[in-house]
Amino acid sequence: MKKKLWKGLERSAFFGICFAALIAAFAAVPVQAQQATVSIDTPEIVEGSTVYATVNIDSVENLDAGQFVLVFNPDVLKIVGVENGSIGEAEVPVQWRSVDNGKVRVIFNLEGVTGVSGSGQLASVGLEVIGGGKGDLRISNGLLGDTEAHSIDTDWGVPEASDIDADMRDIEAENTQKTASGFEAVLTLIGLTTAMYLTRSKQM
Amino acid sequence: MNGMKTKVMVGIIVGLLLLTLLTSPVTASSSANASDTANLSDSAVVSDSAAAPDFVATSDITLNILGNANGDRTIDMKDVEYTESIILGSGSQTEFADATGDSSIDMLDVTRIELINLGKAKELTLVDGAGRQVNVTLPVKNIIPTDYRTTETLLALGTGDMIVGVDRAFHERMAEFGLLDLPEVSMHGQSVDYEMVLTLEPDIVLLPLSRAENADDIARNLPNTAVVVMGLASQKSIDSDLTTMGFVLGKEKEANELLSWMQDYEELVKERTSDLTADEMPTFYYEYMSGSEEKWWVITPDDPSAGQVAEETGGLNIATGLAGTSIEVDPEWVIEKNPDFMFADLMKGFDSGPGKTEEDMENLLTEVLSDRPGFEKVNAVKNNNVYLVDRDIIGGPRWVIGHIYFAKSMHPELFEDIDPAEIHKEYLKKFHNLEVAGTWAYPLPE
Repeated sequence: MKKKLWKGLERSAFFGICFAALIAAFAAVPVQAQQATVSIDTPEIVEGSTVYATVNIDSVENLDAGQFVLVFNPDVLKIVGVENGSIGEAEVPVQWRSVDNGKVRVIFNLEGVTGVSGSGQLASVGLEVIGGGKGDLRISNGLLGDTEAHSIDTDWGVPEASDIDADMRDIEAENTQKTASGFEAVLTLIGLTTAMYLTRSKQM
Repeated sequence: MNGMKTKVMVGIIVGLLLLTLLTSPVTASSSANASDTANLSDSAVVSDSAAAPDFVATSDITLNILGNANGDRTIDMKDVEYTESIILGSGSQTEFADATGDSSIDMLDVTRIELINLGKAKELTLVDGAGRQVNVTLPVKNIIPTDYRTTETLLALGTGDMIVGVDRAFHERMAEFGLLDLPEVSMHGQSVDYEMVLTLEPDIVLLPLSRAENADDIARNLPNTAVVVMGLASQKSIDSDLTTMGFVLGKEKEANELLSWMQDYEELVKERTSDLTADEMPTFYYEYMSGSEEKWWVITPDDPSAGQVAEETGGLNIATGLAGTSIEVDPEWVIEKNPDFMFADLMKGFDSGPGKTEEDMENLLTEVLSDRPGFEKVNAVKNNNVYLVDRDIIGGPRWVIGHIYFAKSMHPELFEDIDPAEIHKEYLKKFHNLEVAGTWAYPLPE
């Protein structure tokens, strides 16, 4: 009798874990998908030349508008223009303005509020190389917004970060880690329980 | 079979417990992301010393809604452009540019402004007459004005089908406007019947300016309801608050029409009296009787409603300079001031207005002047320049009718072609589709 009851409980626990794992798996997928990535590709710079860097975006969903600051070494680089980017067939219209020596603020606002998803370029940055040394072109203080005027969870790339961005990323990374380790624990638990269940089934 | 069901049930419960334990880190992640925007060091942070842009408002009328970046009377693509200019650093920060209300002006505000402009926003934030920021869920379907003059103003915008409750004074004093079947939920914004209000499920409950100090307390008793203070009864605040409510209720066109109607007559009075010199302006004494105290009080120009209605009508209020908005004064002071004109504001509301004839008003005038020893020496009384004015044409959108009445009484020669009674009829027909017999002012200046 006791054995039967124990066996029933085992099965219940197994069902429970599987149920939880299924729901957790479904819930985890959209969280992962919401993370967009922005990166900057800078070509090799040669003094006296004009080159183009691209600000790339990957895996964004419902993007409507955004802003970022381009930070660079003004002794080496001079920004001569920031041109529109595109995501799929949607143009990303940009506006830009020098806000400081070595800082250019860029904003973009897609037409309407229908949003765009996917990967592409946010902007193309024309750079005149005016001196020797490192250009140190990077993005700081980025913000992407969706069609509901909410910020989009974005990885702006650690090496290009400003101090504050880096701090924020540390917090995010810490939390992401927590989420990931929690999810791993569920998977481990499922694996162990399944193995235990199969072993006991064979013994019977 | 039953055993199997039990096992599945127990399994689900165990699963849910497990999920509850595991969801905490996800929540932590979300809150960290939410603070991201607020911590952007280079984003334009709203400052208290925000300077107005060059093109801001040619008039005092402002749409008090977050997102009205350029401070005009609407939210449109100009606000998008202006907010972008702030973010880029070429435009000055303004009071309402922070459309999301997160203390940071950024591109999220631009999106919110676009959503509002396109009618796709699920909510907006207005700044009410008490300076409170109130979130309103859109679209607004049900409203409860807790003050009868606010109700009248809202009805003039064609919101009759949105009003689900009124105050008792509306039924008692403005029965001509209908809504007789609606429940009474307050009295002048006081004694709010919270239980009744919650039963009616309004999106917005409107309080008059007089209840500004109690607004937060009232809001605490009405969860999930936007409690908004609006000065729709007062001459000084009606223009901006009407613009704001028109926008929130989706009655922008109607609000603009009513505003234009008021402004046209206000402008007419200004045009015709602006050339008068101080010598050409008679003095006037403006009094009202408190409903409960049976005594007369003098109205000063500082009164945001009646006091302002009487200003710029070609006369000089003898109470100018007195402290306060209304003061009980010694009759000897009035006699000594010897005003050329005297206006008695019939605040009580039952002695004049709908259904009253000129004969009724003549009797009332006699009564008003009785038992006032020494007043027979006052110029206003000696020269038959004593006038009765019903408060209905002083408060709410009808203030402009009272304004014209003051001007025409003191300068009939400048307003020969203007009949305040006809303008009143025009208002009732045009904005309420009503024809109401009655006498709201007496005597009618010739």
